[in-house]
Amino acid sequence: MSLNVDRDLLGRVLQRASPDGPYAEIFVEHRARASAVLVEGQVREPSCGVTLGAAVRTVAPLSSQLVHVDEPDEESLLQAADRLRLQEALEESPASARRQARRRVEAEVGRAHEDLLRPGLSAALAEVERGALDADPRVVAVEVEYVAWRQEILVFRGAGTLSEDTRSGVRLRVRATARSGLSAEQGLTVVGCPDPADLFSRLSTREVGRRAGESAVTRLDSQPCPSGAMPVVFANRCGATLFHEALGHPLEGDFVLRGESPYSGAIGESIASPIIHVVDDPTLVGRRGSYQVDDEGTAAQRTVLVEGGVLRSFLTDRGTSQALGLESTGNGRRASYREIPLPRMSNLIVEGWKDDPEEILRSTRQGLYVVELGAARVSFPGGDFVFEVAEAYRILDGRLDHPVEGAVLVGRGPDVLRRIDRVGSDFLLHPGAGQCDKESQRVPVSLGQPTLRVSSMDVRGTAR
Amino acid sequence: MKDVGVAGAQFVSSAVRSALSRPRTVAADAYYKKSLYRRWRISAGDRVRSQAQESGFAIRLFRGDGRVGHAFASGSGASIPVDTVLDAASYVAERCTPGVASLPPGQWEPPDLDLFDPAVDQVPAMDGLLLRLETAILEEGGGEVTLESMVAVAGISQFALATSAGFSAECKTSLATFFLHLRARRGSEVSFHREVIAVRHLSTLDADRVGRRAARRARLPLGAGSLQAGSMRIAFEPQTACVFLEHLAPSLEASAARRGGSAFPPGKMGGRVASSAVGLVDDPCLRRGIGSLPFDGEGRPTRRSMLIDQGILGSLVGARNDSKEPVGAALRRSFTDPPRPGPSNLHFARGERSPANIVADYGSVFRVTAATLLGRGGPASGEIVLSASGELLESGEPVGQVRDVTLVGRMDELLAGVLEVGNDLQFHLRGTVLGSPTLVLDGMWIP
Repeated sequence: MSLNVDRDLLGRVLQRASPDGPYAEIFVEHRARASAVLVEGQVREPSCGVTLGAAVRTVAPLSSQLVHVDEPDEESLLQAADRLRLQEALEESPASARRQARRRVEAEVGRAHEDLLRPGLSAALAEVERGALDADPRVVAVEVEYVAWRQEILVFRGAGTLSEDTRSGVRLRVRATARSGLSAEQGLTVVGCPDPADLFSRLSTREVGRRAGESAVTRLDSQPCPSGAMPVVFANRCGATLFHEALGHPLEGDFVLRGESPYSGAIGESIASPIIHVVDDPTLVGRRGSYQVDDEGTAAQRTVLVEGGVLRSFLTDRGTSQALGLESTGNGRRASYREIPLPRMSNLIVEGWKDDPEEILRSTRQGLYVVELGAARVSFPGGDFVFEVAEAYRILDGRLDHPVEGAVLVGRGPDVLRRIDRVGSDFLLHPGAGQCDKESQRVPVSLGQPTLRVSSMDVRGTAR
Repeated sequence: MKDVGVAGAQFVSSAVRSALSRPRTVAADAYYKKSLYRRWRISAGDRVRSQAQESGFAIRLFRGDGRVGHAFASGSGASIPVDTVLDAASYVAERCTPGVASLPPGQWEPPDLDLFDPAVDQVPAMDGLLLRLETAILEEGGGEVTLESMVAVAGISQFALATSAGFSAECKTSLATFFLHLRARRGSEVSFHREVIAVRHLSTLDADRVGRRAARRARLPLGAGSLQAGSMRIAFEPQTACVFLEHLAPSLEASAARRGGSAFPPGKMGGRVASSAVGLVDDPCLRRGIGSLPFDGEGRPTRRSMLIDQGILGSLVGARNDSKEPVGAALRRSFTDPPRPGPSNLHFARGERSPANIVADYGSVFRVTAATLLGRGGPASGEIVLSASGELLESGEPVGQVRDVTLVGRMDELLAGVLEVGNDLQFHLRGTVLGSPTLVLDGMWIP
């Protein structure tokens, strides 16, 4: 894949959009995507395709305007610029004129489908299914979903400033159903990596399937979770989801700017236990949330968010950094050329400390051991959250006891961050294929954490 | 937006003809969609308006050995040519397992479901509605309610579908969606309320009533108490009752039931799965319905399905007919996605009496005005955990407010515990389109 653009054309479009006014930029995106589903041993609904589009945007204090085009040629881009300048409603440009336009942003579509849907895919997906079915005789059905994508972007900001980046990702989602009598439960495993060519060389296909099968059977064997305040140990496999929701989002510049973050104005203040260190790092090599430049053309950088419990930085894009009087941290991200950039996390890392993870468990007399968190709801500005627990075990006398289901964690982010009393040395960057949704925009992210313990949390369960 | 009409129909018909010239291709269909979205975001001191135009097409090739390949591209063939997409579809078909694909349908005449309102495409009309909503919220809020944010999306979509068997049709739709996020404050106490409203026709949205109702719901938790552990009779308002459908929807798909991942395995067909007060319907043919479709994603006629009738399980979404043919429930979320079976306007059937008359007859009732699905067990075990707020009623009269109470139940017990259903059916966008009247039920308890 490659994008072929005419810099002179882009320069004229920007000049037209904002002759002497606010900041303006052009974002061009070419994306290839392939998917397939394996059900009952058969590959169904294989699909592949490409999208190409551009957006022209102006940003002024307290207002921004954006116009997108699906077929970015000279005429439609210049019309987009005119509409931005005049703030007119977007109307359709004549199709005939568009086809006659001489200059056009072009993408070499090539044969992206051959990279993303390789000939060995069917056999690999069947191996995943086999792994799940072999995990336990009670596993009765498996669904394997495969999605791969490759994205090339270009950001032009005038004065010859042109930034480019290429990103890719692949995601394997395995859902196994286990049944015993009238009870049925489902287990889910999601794994991913940046390069589709690496997916099956990095991972054992049978192992991925087996994990989904075992998760379903574990849920089948689980008991209702009791309610009450108790210590909660989060395994390193939890993937820092708690931090993503309760710390990462409130540190995003738009929440801070609107006064919706409990951490507004708290730079330099202690907001967490002194053993907590958190960074956002899009420069990590080969991770889902990695990039070289963000979607506004700002160079990616490692940002220390919390150091020894003290808040050091927010996550900003161009607009929020200007409004807050800060430098952009290079976290302006958008789901596609049709969307406005928002300040977003990339790879969120909760750094390891010195505690032995096994000792953390042994020293917890009774409590909950959370292996995987599910859906979350966070309210601002208080930071109140509710987390669904996807997989967890009771802790009794410092040992893992039976699995529990139906548990929900309720609390406030700022309170929980202060109650972390143990942080393990076993940092793990989660192998899953993280996705973050914000204002209907979904972007890939990575998360990592060590084993850690919150001294007391409000657990609500279904035990009568 | 100019009509895609003739141009769109010609484009998809031409794409189908090109597809049929590909080797080993016995049938094909082509889909084209063009949308224009205007988006408003209004929050304190911040007003952003954006607009987006989106278009794209998809082609499916059907091989004689039952393989199917789906490929897509943005635009309408100028930047990314149809031939490039056909190359990809041919390659993709090779990755499909051979089988028995259902071939595309022939010509028939889709109905007019009145899904388009030109006013949705008019900025002044939307500006006026937003102003009326904002005014009603602030007036009813009595100084305690502020607008955290209000996002409105006004979308006009046109799509065309053609098949090699002769089906060819276009459809034009409009949809205006409003996302309200309110904050209520009294002293140091704060509560938040979110609500989503979607309509095909702007004239069906009573902005003043919707805005005032949202403000009242936002204020309701202020000064509210909690409830003691135990069982409780509950009346779920329509938008909160949809939370049950959110949990049930995956179980209602025929393929999930066949594979054991459903609360309704094949052995339950024809049996009682709910109280006789419960009817469950999927109806893609509702006039002006926000999930309605005159034809499905493969060009087949859509039809109303009675899934549960007076508590008896009668059918599932995407079940095939007696000839093993699909029944017209394939949805295309976008031109980038292949058609898949799914519900369109899934809803509990309306009852006879008004909710006011119903709650007046049931003594002590907790009326839930806001509910969030917190946790759930597997599809068959059906454990469900909700966070709920609302008010306590005695013979229909409010006697107190309640906030953030955890409610626990099992889906099968809840369906069996439905006592009565109101006549106030409303539809909501919760990822898919779900609808419900007020439900009064026993079977939930507070841990």
